[in-house]
Amino acid sequence: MAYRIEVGFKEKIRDALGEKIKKRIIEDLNIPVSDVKTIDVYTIDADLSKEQLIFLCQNLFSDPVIQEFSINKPLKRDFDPVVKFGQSSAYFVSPKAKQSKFYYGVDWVAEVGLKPGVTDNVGKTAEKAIEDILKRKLNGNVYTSKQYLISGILKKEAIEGIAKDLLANELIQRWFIFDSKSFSEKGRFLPIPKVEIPHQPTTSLIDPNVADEELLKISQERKLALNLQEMQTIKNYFARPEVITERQKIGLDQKATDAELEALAQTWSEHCKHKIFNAKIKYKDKDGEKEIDSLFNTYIKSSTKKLEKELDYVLSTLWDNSGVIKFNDDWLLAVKCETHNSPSNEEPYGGAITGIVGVYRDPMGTGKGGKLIYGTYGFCTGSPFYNGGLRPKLHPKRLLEGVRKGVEDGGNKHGVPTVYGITFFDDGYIGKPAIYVLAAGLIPAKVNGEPGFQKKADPGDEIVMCGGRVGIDGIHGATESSMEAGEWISASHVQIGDPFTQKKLHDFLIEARDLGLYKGITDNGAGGLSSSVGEMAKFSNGFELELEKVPLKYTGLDPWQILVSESQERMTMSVSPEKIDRFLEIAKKHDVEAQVVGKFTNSGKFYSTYQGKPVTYLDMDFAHEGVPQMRLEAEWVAPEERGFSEPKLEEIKNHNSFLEEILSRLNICSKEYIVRQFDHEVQGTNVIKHLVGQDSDVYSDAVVLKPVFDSNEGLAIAAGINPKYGQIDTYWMATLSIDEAIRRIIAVGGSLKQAAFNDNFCWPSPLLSENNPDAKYKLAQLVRANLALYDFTISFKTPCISGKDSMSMDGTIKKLDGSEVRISALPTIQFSAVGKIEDIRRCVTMDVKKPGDLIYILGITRDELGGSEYYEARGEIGLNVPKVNPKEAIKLYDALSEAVDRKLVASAHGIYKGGLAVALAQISFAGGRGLEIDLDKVPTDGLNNIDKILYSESASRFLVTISPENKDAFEKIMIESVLGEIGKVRGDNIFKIITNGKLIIEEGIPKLKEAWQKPFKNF
Amino acid sequence: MKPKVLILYGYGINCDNETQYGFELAGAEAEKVHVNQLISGERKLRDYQILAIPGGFSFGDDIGAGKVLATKIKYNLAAEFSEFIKKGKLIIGICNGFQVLVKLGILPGFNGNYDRQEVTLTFNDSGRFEDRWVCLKINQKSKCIWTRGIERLYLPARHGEGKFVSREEKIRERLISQNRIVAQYMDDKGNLAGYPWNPNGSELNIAGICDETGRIFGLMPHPEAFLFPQNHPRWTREKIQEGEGLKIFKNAINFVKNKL
Repeated sequence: MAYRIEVGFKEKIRDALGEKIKKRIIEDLNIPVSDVKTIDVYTIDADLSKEQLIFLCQNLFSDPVIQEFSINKPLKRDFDPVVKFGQSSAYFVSPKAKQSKFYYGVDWVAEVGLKPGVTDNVGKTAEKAIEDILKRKLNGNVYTSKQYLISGILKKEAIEGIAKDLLANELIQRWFIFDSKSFSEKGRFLPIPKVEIPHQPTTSLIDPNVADEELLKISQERKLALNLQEMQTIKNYFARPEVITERQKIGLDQKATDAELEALAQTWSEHCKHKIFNAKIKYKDKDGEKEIDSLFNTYIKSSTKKLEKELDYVLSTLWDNSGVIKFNDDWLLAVKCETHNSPSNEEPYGGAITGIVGVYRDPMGTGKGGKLIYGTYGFCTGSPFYNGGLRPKLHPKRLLEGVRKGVEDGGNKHGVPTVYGITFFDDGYIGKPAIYVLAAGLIPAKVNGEPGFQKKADPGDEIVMCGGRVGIDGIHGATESSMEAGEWISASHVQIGDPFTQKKLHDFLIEARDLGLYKGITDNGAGGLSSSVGEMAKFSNGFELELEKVPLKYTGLDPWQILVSESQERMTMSVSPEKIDRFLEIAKKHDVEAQVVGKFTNSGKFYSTYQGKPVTYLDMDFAHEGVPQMRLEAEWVAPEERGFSEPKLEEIKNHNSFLEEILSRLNICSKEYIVRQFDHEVQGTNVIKHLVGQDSDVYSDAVVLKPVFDSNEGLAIAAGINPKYGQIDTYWMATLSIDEAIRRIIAVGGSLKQAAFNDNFCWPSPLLSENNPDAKYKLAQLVRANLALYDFTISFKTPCISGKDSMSMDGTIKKLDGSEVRISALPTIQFSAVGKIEDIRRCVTMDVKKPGDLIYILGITRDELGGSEYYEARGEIGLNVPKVNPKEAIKLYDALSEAVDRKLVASAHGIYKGGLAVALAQISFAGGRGLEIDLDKVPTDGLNNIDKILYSESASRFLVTISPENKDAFEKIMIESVLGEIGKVRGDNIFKIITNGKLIIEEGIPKLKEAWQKPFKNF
Repeated sequence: MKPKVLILYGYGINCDNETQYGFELAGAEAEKVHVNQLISGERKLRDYQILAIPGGFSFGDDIGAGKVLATKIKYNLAAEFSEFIKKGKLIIGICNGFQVLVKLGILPGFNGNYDRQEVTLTFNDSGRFEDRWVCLKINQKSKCIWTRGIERLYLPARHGEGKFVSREEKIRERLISQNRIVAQYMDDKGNLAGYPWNPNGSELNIAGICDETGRIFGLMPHPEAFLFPQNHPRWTREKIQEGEGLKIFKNAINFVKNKL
């Protein structure tokens, strides 16, 4: 028997969510609605008495102070279908409101609920709470949905539009729309989204010994995303006589099982094996041709390994779920940055929350397991103000809000501060956005006497799966993300991460770790158990998995689905048999589901069974090393040959208004509303926040945490991302991103002494096909970015300890006329940096402090505006992309670090996008004080164009203010670097720039700040 | 002997570590105890002098912030809580912990009736979660032992459901007349003011209230997030002597040492 409970606010109680929805309907959809109210609906599919229901409503589902409820009938206080206004009938209306001349009556009811199989987190919580109250098993389920009561004189189509474009995402949600009259008559029971799979689990056999055409058909039909060469490798493996003989011993033969093909497809997917980064590439440019045997090995790994030998703080890189460096003698730091682009493109909220909650499992699943200490985000989307000729399924504004909300809920509800992040807008991301999520955790330097960054699984150890249950959600995530958006997507691929379940899991694993109850841990991400157990089993060289033991969300899953499902919030651990009882006891305390699902062995076999029958029996080394190497071609075309040149532009006449225009540009301006909605201070460790200054509302260069309570050591956290420069040359784009990330860390008081990166590539596909004719050039762009990564991580001695690539930043989008076009994003690389701070009490922020403080610019300003905000504002790209001289930069960075360390610096700010003018404005309005700047004192290499001096984006530059009494000491430390004393901090709020004795900018700082804050003020 | 503090954790509470550290800095022996350790009887509430319910997102804020944890306590630990309160021991609920206390009816606890819900904390008027530092005016007439000697506080508020609402006008009147309103949001000049100074639209700008004994205190902002000067958002430009939040914990410890 199902019961339906509706809960809504009492009269006079403000419905803030309803108001927010109303605002967005009016502003984003341009639909004139007069009111929106919300009602929570709980459908309980279980046997309960009437008394029990009422009791639950009173004690659990409603807040007696502000809410009221109804059972099995619409929640209405004064339902009166006779009261009408125009065509409207009334619903949920107070007598008073009806008399109001603004009253239009509730005209429509839109109820939004989840599709069957999509995890209902609130429903799960409600089930547990009911059991707590009734002290018995519920033997049923709770499903939640939300009702929106929408007033306004509107047609049903408009409500459909509101539901589709704002209230729901059709991928995971469904909705029902009624006019209020028919709702009161028949809308009370909507179908329950129950999953029932009337299916006997089976393992089917596939004969791989077939012709090429058939092989490709198998790959396509099963959505394996394996190419012919890979399918042939599989065919050959199964034809080996010794393989057949061994398989026959356990009851299999020369045919492959569905589970085996699926497991290989997961393990060999682009997502897991990074086939493009490991391909053999023929690279051609005007200097000739060379062969690169794996970009990953040649550039990333060789740099990291070289630095790992040289730098003793680098401990574990490029193999585990995250990279590990030393923090201090007691603690190690594990950091991982991920992207979650494809899922976020389809379902921004679900994609992003699953992304952030998923990346948390990387530090949690590194070495002996990390306790999470911070997260960061990077949102690269189309402009939220886009009104061009493309019709993406979701408007960038909605996409941005969805991913923002996903990271908000994922982080806040997990108790992990989301401390730093970037947004970057370019309409190339309309095809697919780049959504970065990063997580870091602390691991004890030693656990049970063993280094915290190591893990193992010995033969005989139990395989334990902990956390969430397995369903068909998230099947094929690894293979799908390797495909282009729009090709296909199934609802089962999109999940809604559950930070609550994982927070419990996190607390449990930290306790189990500290008690030394497990030997190794890894997460269940892409590829599910097949990957996690497969990876861990490399230590023991084999495993036996009993798939029927895996806890399921519902029955009816085939064994292969259990094996590869990517249902979230799960970790896999190796636990020795003598510790398993204690381990399970601690899990129970934390209300975490933990289940022994098999044993690690040394059989060399990837062996799994279902109710005693074999499901997979593959050789471990074939599963992990069998993937054939791709061969690709790359051809670099220099920017000059692509038609890039320096524009000849008239100089700006009104610098005041132009500066305001630049400050309002989307990639410069404030997005404070994003930062505010992330709990960036939970754990009590945040000491330089992302918003600083007099009003705590201007971005700091980097964030600083003090992660261990009784130590003043800290971490500086920042990232660099500069896709625009890549239009000219991805070599310098990558370089400038590295330099930016470092500059940010230096600016708050960090140093180059103990810093590390995560590198995350988001690239348009470099695989040649009919609709991707310039693939060779895109691959060349990738090669050049890697070359830069190698050159500059080596120069700066900042290793990439972990990273990730996403090689399908393309999408097929409908145009207004209905035709389709393929959109590729700009090649994008984010370098996420973390650097040790010896004493956080010496850190500085970017806001100017006192009147009379001297202002310096450090570094040389050059004619480097290629890819700059200035050129873009004037409709150009240019050619002179900024370049980095690592020797000069290091000298400068070391000197500035020393000056900050000796407390000579009042404020420091890197100069980034928008150049000197933007940086000056920011330090000024952050400090709430005006400046007086003489442009003639800016050191340049012969540059005499005012516009260029103000807006050049030359790298490795800073603005520093110091107290006048520190002048000599400061200049002495900086003696080997280029610097110019360019002005003073004023006592009032006037921002002044002169050149040649002539005033070129004079503006009150409130006006500049307003320009900077304006675009997203109403978000 | 150091006062013993029970820091409740588990089920999505997430400020447990810094709350524990705050009490330790103040001179307590603070122990994190999982909700299920109390329910199973592995730990007994009566062995402690102070109970702290920290901030967080217990049960993911599902159904209503603090609601499900309150339900869990009500149906599993009511007797233990009641005994603890009767003995005059101290309780603090911060943010999510405050939400739990009001939803249990422990606050405001008029007439010694600690299980009737008279007020609530609901969705911010902005309809969103916000992390923002707030200025608090402390009621000098309040009996609250946690805020003795404090006139104003500057602390971060970090919540989506912090708007204080009373069941009816009478409740508001009693809160005022009995000096139960301990902390109110104000602007930087000391006046009660609207958004963003009052981050959530609370009635009477209420940020925290206490019971009639002054021993049970709940507040939305986070004292445990300002334990040392560098937690302050502007410590690089203003002289900050100490973590203001620490005073709250010190008051409780001093009270226990002298009175309990």
